[in-house]
Amino acid sequence: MSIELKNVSYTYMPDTPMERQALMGVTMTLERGRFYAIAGHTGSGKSTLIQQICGLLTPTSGEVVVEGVPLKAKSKEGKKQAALAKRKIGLVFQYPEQQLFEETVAADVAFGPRNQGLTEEEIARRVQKALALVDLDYEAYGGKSPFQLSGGQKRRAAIAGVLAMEPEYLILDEPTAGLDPKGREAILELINTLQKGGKGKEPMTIIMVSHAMDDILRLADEMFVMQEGRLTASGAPAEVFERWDVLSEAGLEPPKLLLLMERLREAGLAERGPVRNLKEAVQAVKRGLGKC
Amino acid sequence: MGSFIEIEALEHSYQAADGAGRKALGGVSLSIGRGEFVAVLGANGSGKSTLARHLNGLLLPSSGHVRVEGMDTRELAERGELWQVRSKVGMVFQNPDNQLIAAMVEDDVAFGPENLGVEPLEIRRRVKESLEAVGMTRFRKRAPHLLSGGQKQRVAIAGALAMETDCLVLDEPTAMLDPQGRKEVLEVVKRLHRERGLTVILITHFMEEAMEAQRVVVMDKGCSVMEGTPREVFARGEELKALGLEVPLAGELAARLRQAGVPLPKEAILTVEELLQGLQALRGKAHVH
Amino acid sequence: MLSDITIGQYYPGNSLLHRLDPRVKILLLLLLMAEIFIFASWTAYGFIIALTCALMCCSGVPLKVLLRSLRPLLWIIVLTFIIHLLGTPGETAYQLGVINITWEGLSRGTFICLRLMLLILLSSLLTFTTSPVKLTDAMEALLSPFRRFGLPAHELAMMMTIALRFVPTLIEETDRIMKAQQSRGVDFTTGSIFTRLKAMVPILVPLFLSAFRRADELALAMEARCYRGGVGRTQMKALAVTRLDYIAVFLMIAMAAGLSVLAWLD
Repeated sequence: MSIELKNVSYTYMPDTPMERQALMGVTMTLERGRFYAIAGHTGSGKSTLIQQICGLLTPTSGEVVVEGVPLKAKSKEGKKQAALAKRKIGLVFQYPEQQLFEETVAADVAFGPRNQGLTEEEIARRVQKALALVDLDYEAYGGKSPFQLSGGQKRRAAIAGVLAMEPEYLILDEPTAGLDPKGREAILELINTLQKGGKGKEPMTIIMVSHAMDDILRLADEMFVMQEGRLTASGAPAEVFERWDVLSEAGLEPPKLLLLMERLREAGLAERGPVRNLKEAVQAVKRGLGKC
Repeated sequence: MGSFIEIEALEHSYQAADGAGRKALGGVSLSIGRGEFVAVLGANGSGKSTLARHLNGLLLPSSGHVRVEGMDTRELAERGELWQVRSKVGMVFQNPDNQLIAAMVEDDVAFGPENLGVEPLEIRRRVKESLEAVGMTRFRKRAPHLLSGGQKQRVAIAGALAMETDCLVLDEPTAMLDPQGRKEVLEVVKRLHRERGLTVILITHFMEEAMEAQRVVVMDKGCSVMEGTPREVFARGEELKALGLEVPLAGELAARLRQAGVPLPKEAILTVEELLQGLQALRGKAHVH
Repeated sequence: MLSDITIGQYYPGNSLLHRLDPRVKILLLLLLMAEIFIFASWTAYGFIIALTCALMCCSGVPLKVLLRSLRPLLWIIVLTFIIHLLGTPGETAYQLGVINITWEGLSRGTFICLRLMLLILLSSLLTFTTSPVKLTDAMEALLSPFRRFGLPAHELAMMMTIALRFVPTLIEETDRIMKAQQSRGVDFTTGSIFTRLKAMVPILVPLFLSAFRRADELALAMEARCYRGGVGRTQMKALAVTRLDYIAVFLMIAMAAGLSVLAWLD
């Protein structure tokens, strides 16, 4: 069970003076239940890439296959299958709170499920569940206008709107942009919980576009580096971040934690080996000191 | 050298939709010297943007005073002369898209001096010089919507410089930018402070940016709750975290190490160098034993 | 991408027409339009057509691009022609059942169509060779005498400037919101007109909200940069009349005088 991109290329406004190739031969596989991160400079093709994955844009060449179903279909039956497959993918745009429009939070969250033609009962169930997932109390916030919420709450309400469609793959384009540290932490916590699943919930596949390398290191199972429309590196973050040449070429800086650990290791104060978060860093330093 | 901006027991209440007043600032006193670089740090809703908007008379105190070079903003407003403060205190806002007015970069930079009635030739000189100062000369004929976020913010800074402002208030100028844009903007701000002696007041929630300032003011719930050099302020890591703010990574690791029983020295550890020294001192002791 | 659309049809260049002062260009265009209406004779049109061709040649805008400006109004031109062709009484040139085409109709239809095409081509020449920014400045300058009658010339021009700046941004934003709602299952392409209109609500509401927010922030930013309306304001790119403009004005007045004499002789 996976999403596969096979040699996907995309050109904006072909055959005009404005022609611009945004993606060039991108091939990747997104397995169910894992946490993926996409990193790259602004204009590297990240946004185009995620719009390909969820079928908002159709490749100029190559194809996107969602759990065995090609999204670019010609026959009527094929198109129906493709539409169903697209439903498995939810997309949270950058600054998603800007798409809120209903009078109440509950109505806005219900918008997606209603478009899917679900029964009122099912819609109500999903709204409650989605709001609970993003930690917004249905009783307290469901009847409120989305425009009365704080910045961080608005964003969580918008994410609930996508979660209510119960996607199996969730794509998020810089979900923490513009938030303060506390708001950022709350969103990352939410994403991490969704991906872990548990409590009878299926683990969700997460595809997160991010500029924060420390977050990628801490959370992602696998990362992709985009540069000028090409995929230039992929693999476990700890391994990709070792390849400083690829990173600097893509205009990215390594995570601050890794830079810090590198300094400590050079001074012989920390043990070698992968470090993903502060907890592991503490262990590495303790072991490094212990050897003295 | 007297203070350039004097804020005295500043209170500000917004009129909420239901008619009730909501207090955004509850008695802030602060004085900022000419040529100083002050960072105002705070979580969303701490009142830091409200404070910023008092510095050039975009908002007026509900009570208390704001004086720029001795001019009281409320008195100026009564006389309809707030532009005197606004030309001295330039402002850059958070959203790079919503503060450029003209459809071409150089026309936008000219907007301020045009409003001040400056002679056309002098405006040209100022526009040229301001664009050079932020490194945007190459883009002077571009349409703003074709620029990156960092470039737009640099144009906004040039717009303030062209008014020959003495002071730059930046209200979360990097919150909506990518790391590259953030770096560009901060570099320009630091350079302007260093080379031109511009007074800089940087409102932010990024700890790294506040570290660059000479003085940090921490806001919470409409009040200034901490003030001091970056070292003094960031040494209070636990308090900062309780306010929903970040602390420097080296300091955070040091705190975790102490928690885990590593007997690091008591002195504050904020930088990588200090952490290295602290740990090396420990290893030294271990060798002695 | 929607964002690649540019407003207006300015064709950048440095031709004689590009270099003319925009105020002069607008006034001369008005003069020419008046001539087209006043001197409705074939001889006069001969001169005007010759002038238009000459202007098109020295505008630096490719002929294909210029003629494209006629396309949106092609149907109106054709329709006008047919109405005049069939509706003018006179000597029959061709008869087919009830349809009676007269020589007068043919001549009148051609004449009216020529008039329409000249009007469109000449105004297009103005917009092709004058950037929207310059047009706005010229509009402000030309309307400013009417300020004493309460016409907000500066405010109108400022509105134009802001519109020019923000239309691309708002188009980009529309594109983004449309995609966001599409990914929440909105379908803009099927259903009756009513359902399609209803599908626009989730786009229009966020778009309006955002436009209001932008307006609000922009107003603050303008205030912060000492904006106090048009009074006491200077302009960096103050419009200046050059020798080229005097020559153009002289030639055009000479032509108008010539046409007047011609009409008087008739």
